[in-house]
Amino acid sequence: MPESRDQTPLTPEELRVLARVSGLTIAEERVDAVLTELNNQLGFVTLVEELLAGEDAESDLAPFDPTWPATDEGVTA
Amino acid sequence: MSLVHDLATLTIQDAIRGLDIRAFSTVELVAATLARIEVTEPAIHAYVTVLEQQAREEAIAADRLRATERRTRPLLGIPLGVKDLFDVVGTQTLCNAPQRRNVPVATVDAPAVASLRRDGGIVVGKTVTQEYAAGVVSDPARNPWDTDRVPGGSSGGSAAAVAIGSALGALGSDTGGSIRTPAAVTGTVGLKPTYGRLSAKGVYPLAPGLDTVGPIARSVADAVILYLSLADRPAEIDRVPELLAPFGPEGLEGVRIGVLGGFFAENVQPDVLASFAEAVGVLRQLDAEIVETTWDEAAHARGIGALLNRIESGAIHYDHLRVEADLLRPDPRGRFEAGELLPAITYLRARRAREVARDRIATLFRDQRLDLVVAPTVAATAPRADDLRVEFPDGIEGIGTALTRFTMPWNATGQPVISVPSGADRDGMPIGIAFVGRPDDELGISRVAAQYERATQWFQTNASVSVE
Repeated sequence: MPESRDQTPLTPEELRVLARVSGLTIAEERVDAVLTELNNQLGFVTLVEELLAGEDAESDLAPFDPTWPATDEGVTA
Repeated sequence: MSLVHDLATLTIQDAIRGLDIRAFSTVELVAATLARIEVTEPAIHAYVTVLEQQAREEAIAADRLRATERRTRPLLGIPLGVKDLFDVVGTQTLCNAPQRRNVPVATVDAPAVASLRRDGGIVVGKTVTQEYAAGVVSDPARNPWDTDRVPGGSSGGSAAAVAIGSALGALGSDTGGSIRTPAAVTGTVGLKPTYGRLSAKGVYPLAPGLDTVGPIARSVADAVILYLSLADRPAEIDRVPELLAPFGPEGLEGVRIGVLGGFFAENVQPDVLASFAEAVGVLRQLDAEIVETTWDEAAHARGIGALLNRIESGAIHYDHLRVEADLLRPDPRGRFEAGELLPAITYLRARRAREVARDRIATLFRDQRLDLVVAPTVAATAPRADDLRVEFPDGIEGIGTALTRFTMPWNATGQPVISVPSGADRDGMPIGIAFVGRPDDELGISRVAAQYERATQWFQTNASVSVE
């Protein structure tokens, strides 16, 4: 199993670097708010990796299909 | 009692019946709806645009066509609201976004709107949403049960209009809970169909991999009526009573329902938890087979839903972050910026994890032989509009997390969910229970929900007192 990614919260300086790479201007007074949101979202990455542990193939990038493998039917009306 | 007053409790089923037996005309029904909009809007602010003249003209036409077209147009003359995220011919799709103040009017109805019109529905107006549907506040719309509180979102205007009777039903869209959350906190019924089954074309996207359109209504039957129209199955609308028939003399004989604990029982407001326990008791009394269970991947699915939502919306709003970005309100702007900065590999891994989450919930259903599962729709009741924090036993949460924690997992898996009123908290604010089914089992979960609704009659309470 691969090592899990480092989920130490990003710093303001790292946010600025990311924004520069993306060509996005984030005003200084808004850095904290964006950083909080970004770190909140990055917190979910651990859950994603936990779920993928032991799973093999990557997604084939087809549109998501919610259909389940054929089993019995639901509560049909 | 006037028709305007009756609209506080009138359902689409009632209205179809009333029009059929000529208890009132479409002209009278639409006039009453417009009058109710006029009375309630100063307090509720559910609408961004009211299409008064057009609605009156369509009502006249509907009355004229009733004799010849009623059989093929089951919604003929029913006044409906449409979330201002959907294209409606002749109106701007503003999305509550100042950046869109100058967009041209739509020249084609979104397919969802076209379906309702094809079946005779009359669009009386466009309802308030959160800016670009990115949030659960829906300012300036207010909750009809207490106008100091939010109606949830992002289909908050649609839910508020239905709750107060200024529309008999309404269109919403749901990316992280935007149909179910407002339905739950306004005492209405919200149906999020299976992802990908109804066209979301002509609906301004938030996250296309999750966006789902669906109805908000006053009863389960009404939600199903609108769903059948949206699903291009109008011929089945007259059969709704039969489609929602009890499973046996008690109501739910032979139905096996998983009651979700674990993630869905953690950090929930006590009144919501109590309401849910009571609802499970009702399901038991209806002779359903109750299975206490947990879905171990629920938190994971919520995280997947959140990441896909943020990253896709970051891409959708790429230009909006670069041109007139200062017109964006701080919250959606921060969301879109953060979404844009999340790594591509995170998106790809979340997509793969979504498939795993889907397979795990399928396994839970199969292994425990469940027909459906139930959980509280949201963990809290509507917060105050001037204090967007929510108090839980484990502390304070922001409104966005508080009102979507329990809805988002089902966007990740794509399953159909119907939220039905299940009571009220100590302040009288509505609470909802979610019935979650297998993919494409919208009618199955609705049939179960209809038995619960009949047994409790929560839907017959109404919010009209607070503005009258």
